[in-house]
Amino acid sequence: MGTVRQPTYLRREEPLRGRFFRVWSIFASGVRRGFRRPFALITILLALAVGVITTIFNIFVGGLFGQEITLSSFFQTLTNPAILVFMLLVAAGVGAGLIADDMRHRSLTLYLSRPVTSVGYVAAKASIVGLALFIAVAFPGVVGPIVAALLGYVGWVTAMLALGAGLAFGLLAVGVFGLTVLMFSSLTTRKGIAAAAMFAMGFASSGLAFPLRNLFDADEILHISLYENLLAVGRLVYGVEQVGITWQVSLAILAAIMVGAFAVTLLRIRTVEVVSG
Amino acid sequence: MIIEADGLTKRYGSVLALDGLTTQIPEGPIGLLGPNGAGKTTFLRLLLGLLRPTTGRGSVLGFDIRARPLAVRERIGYMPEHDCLIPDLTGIGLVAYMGRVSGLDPNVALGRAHDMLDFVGVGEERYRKVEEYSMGMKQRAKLAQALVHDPDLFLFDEPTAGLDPEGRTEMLDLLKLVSQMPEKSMLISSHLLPDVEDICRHVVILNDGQVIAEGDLQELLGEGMNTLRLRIEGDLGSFAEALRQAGAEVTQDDPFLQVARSDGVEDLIFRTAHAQGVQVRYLGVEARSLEDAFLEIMEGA
Repeated sequence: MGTVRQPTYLRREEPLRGRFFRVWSIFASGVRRGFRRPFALITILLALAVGVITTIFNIFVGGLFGQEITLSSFFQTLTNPAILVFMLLVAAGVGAGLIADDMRHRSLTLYLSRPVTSVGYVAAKASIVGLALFIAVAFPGVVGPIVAALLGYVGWVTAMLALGAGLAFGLLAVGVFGLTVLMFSSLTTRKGIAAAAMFAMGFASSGLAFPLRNLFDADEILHISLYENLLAVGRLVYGVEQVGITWQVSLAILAAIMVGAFAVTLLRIRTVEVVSG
Repeated sequence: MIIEADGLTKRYGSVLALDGLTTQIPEGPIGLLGPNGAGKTTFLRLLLGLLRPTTGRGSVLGFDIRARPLAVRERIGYMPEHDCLIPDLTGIGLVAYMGRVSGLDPNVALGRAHDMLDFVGVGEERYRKVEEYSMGMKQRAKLAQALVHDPDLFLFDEPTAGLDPEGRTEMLDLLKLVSQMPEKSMLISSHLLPDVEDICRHVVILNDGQVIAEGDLQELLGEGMNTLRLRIEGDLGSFAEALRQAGAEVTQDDPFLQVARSDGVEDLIFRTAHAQGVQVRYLGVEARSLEDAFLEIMEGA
């Protein structure tokens, strides 16, 4: 036998919280949901494992065998191609669907019809993929120097310099990968396409750069490689001698990529019809 | 007034979507009507602060739509026409999440999400993923997410679209309940004029980016109607003939009579009824349906 129910609407008694809390809510929910997905979880864990293993081999095992640990050692650890490959995987696994899924399900309407700006929305989504990417660089860039100093492999001055350089380089890599994958994610409703575009940008740029450099015998061509540009800036922050290309151009290219990707993403979000007629 | 617009103009390149729209919309349930391309969507976008007007000014609940769009959106609950739910969330997860994104404390958001899902009638399905919901349940979940932060103004875009007759009736009952709440107003944009007629007290009709008619719904439906409608207890045919002989213009439309309005015709009806020994059981001004009124207004535009 059914029950008789009278719908009751209750009034809210608490005030609404501010702008930062709303953006935080999107970030927190995105982390909870995004990191739970099997592919995302596996890539994050693998990236973390690669960072830990690379640090152990380059710093701790090397130190055990009497190898001198310098800033250069930390640079070689953090810029290990395996770490950057896993950053690409994390970017694709976590970031590719962040906006594409909202586009596909037209959920942007739910966000942008609320007191959230398009900048706040993009910032929240960028923070989700940024956190995942930072996990990949956290051990070799931040934890590694501290542990190395605690174990007596390096002095604290070197460790702090390595920590600062690791944070600067790590955040730059996180920014480049994170904002680029968000841009691709905003340009499609299929996260597979966004992930493929991210891989293409990461691998194809490096794959093309060296043959073209050899063909034209011009080091400047290496600037088309995302990885080489990151390396050039990494050499600067770790105080390692520059080879091949100049960090100034590389930094300008990476900054342009980040600003351009953010602008395209924002523009794309703003053109979405929240109210469709 | 909950909404005020003064010379609102919105131009997309060479297309003029709103052409100096001026209106003052009072509190209560309001219907926003107009054919496709009339400017309803652009008007809603401007009200939500998602677009900036090319010229003119507007305010919602006293907040300037150009200067304070976030303050406006804090006080608006928007229920979109199209499917927009996040499929991997449960009903309760979605509504609570939208509460948090609106600024509700997480515990309060969860509590209100439960209350609102109960209110809209999907409380028993709250732990199912919304991708498994039927069309009717999705509409109710969309309504719940619009209500969760207890806004002062609701914008409902085709709220009964895609619902079966039973679902439509239930949704209209819910909207009526919402419309009767004190200090709450709603703006319903719909092509289903009977829905608007059922719920709204005031309508605004747009065409070519301008307001072509607005006002109290009942006045709008009765406006320009020069016919009285009456029902009697007694012989309808003889009474109609008696009225004609007394000089009235009468049309028989069983079980009613339609009498053309003129000075003193009401007196004439009652005097004739008395003389004929019949009882007048109903006498009122013939009203049009909103659909008829809308079509007439559009023809005259």
